[in-house]
Amino acid sequence: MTAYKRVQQWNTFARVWHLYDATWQNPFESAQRIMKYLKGLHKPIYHPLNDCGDHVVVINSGEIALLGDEWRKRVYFHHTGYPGGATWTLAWELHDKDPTMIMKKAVYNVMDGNLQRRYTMQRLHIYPDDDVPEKIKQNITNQIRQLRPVPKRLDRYAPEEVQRFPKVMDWPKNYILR
Amino acid sequence: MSVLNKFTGLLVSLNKLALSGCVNKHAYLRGYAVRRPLWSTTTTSHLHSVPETQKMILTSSETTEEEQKQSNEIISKVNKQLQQQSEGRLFAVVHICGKQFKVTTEDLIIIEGHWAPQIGDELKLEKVLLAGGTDFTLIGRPVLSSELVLVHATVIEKALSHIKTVFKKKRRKQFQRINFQRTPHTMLRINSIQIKPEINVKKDVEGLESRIF
Amino acid sequence: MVFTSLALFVRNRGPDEFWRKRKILKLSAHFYGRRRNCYSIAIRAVHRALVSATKGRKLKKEDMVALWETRITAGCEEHNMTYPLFREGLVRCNILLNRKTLADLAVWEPRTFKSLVKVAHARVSQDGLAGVTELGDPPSGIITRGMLK
Repeated sequence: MTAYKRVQQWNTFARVWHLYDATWQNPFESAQRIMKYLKGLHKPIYHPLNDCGDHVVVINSGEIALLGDEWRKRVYFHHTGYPGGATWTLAWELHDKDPTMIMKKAVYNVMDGNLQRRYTMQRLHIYPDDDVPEKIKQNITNQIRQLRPVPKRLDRYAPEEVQRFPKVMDWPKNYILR
Repeated sequence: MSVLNKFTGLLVSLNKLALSGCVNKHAYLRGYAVRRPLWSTTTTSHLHSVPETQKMILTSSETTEEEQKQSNEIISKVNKQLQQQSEGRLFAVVHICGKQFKVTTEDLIIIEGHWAPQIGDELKLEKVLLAGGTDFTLIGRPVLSSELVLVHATVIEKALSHIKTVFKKKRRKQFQRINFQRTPHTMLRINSIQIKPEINVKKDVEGLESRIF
Repeated sequence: MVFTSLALFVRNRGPDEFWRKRKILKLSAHFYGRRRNCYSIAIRAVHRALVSATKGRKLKKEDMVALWETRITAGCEEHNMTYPLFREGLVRCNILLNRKTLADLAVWEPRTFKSLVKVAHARVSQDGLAGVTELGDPPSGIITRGMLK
């Protein structure tokens, strides 16, 4: 291969580091998108044998939002292999123990169950908050768009903006809100 | 940027009635599971249940002045490049024996199946679906005019494929068949791809250049 | 035929047993263990191999088509368009490129592919089909070498 072709090949197959902010996102929907980037399905040069997957760094996985009752009702099963080693853990309990687990399990379960899965999962990096190591931050070049729009919280607005916003009605001064 | 060749242009009518009311959400997904011949004239009607009034009709193009100016600019740029012969290496998508090949000059392609041309025959490949270079592409609808794009090829080799063993077996039923098959292969070398300048010139009578009186 | 002893007479099955078995053992030369050397075991393995090869030739074509579709989908998504809409737009414009060619163009001729996407999008939004979103530039992290501007 000539030097030019070699550089062109590096350019085409280079591994890109993507960032995904999981604040207030549904982990299961996000997992579908993240899986695409991890496998390389977003590239026209995709082939299962091609090793064209990218890295994805997920931040704020402690702030994910599950649908409806799922925090209270979704259970994660684990068996240690020993007799009597079956445990059923609720989603909120698992989240308290380790805030990255729900996202990780979501992505793991959405992939096909072949031998590539464990290797591909090594390219996924999940952090419970904004705190990402410096070396990884230096690699990141792209951000994946969030699936659900994140509204701005009322307490994050400046108090002057809240004052300025036109009011249709206001409670009387001596009215006590329950 | 690409330029739609207006030669074969069935000019698109800007019939603004929305189809979304009559086409159900999944109707358009059905279309390409249907097998139909490449050159069928009934293109859209029975595939997508489009009513008669909303089929593509031949009307004069209702493009705006600005769009017309833009497309004229692009076409003149392409013509200039072709006249100066500075287009560089061209590629084309050619349709032979039911298969489409993306070819450039000095390419070797193999056509499988029985095909009449013999070794040494110089062919002009007529069914060109797409042709382009570094700066422009001509997209045919469905085919570019054979007077506009010339793709010349030579038959280099006519041989048989490797031996394919077709073995069928049903276990415990004493049924076993073995057949050996070799399909004829023809190897073509693409000699040249040329695009004649003056694209987008609509002649009064087409198809005369290839006629031998 | 002359057999010097009774034992040899009984064990002989025919003159070309060697070449019959050699035909099979040649095909099983790269198998594992006794399946490459012992005839009775090899013949079963060889039959299974030939049957898989016959079936595989059909499956290969199906696999290639699926791969082309994945590649074209990836190419379309780079421009914020979906594959069914893209196909529909091309078919309605009477552009009859097959999946193999479209996948090749998506890989090797990105600008041509972009213009095909634009054509399909224009047609589909003109006809008013459901699910049409605005075409966008590819995300900033993708290495396009300036070819998709």
